Amino acid sequence: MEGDALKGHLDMLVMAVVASGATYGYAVIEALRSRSGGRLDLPEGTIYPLLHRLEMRGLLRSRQTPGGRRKRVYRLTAAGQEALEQQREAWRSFAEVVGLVLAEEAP
Amino acid sequence: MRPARIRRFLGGYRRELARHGVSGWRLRRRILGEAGAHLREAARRLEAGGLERDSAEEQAVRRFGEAAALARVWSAACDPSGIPVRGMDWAGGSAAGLAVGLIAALSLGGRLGQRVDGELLFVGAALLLGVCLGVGQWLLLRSRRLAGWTWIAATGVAFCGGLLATSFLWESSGLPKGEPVQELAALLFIGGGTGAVVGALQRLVLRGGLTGRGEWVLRSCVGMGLGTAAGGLAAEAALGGFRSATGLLLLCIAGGLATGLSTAAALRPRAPDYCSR
Repeated sequence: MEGDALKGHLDMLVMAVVASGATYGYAVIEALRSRSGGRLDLPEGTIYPLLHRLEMRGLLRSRQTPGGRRKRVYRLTAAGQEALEQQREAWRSFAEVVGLVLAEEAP
Repeated sequence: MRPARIRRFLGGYRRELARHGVSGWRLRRRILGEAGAHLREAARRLEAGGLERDSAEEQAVRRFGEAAALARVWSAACDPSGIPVRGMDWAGGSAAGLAVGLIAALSLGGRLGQRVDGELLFVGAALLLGVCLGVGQWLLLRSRRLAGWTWIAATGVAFCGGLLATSFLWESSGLPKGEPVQELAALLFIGGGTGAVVGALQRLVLRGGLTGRGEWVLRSCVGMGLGTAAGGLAAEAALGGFRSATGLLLLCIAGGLATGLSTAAALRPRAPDYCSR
């Protein structure tokens, strides 16, 4: 998928996969790839600054897991849940409008 | 032990992060820690899928992205101007600035009262209030690179000019004065007018790609007008009027809080675009 087509939507997609249980960076990028049928194939390292930025904006919270192979795990905050719901709603409405305009006329 | 190819990549990544100004050892440790864990997991999975170890590492590194490009993205993500100012911090900074300004003005006025003309004292007090409001807000803006020292100058001059102009207009308007309702109207007019002038000058010196830039003047006008009037009502109820040091302090705190809360929503930064990089 072209980068331009993703503009402004990547935050929403990442929050959606975190909400559905992808809790660390590798899992997030895997979930994006598999749920998009392989069409969303970003350079994997770009996910971390994005997660960091969402955390700085108070939409995600992270913590380091204890143990030998330490991972940083992420989860949505209440503000993140709310923002995700708003973005979902806005996307549905946008997609509906575009769909109506682009739909071919019935014969 | 960390695989050689991944170790080499992380070394290069560390240098690129430093070159692009991503500073702070905690942050760099976090970035490199997450990158290392990601690359090891990716290489392990690729190896489990049938690739040779060296090829698995190479592919994991390639999929992760180019170190220089990633460091550029990190540099944008860590730009403090991308971090929104929290509403309560902004409101608190504004209210504290006005409150400190009033206390300083009253204290100085008490010492100079006998020697300096009353009108000059009023101008000095208004300027001091404005400068302190500017400092209270600038302390939050400067770390996000949203404003320089001109913010303080603009706020000070605008507050002083706005307060003097609106007070003069109200006094010379010929409208009846003295009743509580008329006092409230005066506070609304003077607060709102001063807020509008402050907002207009602040907007000129406010930097950065803020989404609410166009609403700044209106928000400042409404916030300061309503806040000052609310402070006046509270002072009337609690103290029988606002023409005392405590009453004026109430006006300043309420005016500062309302202006801060109203304008905070306009300080939303535009999100950097990761995909276009």
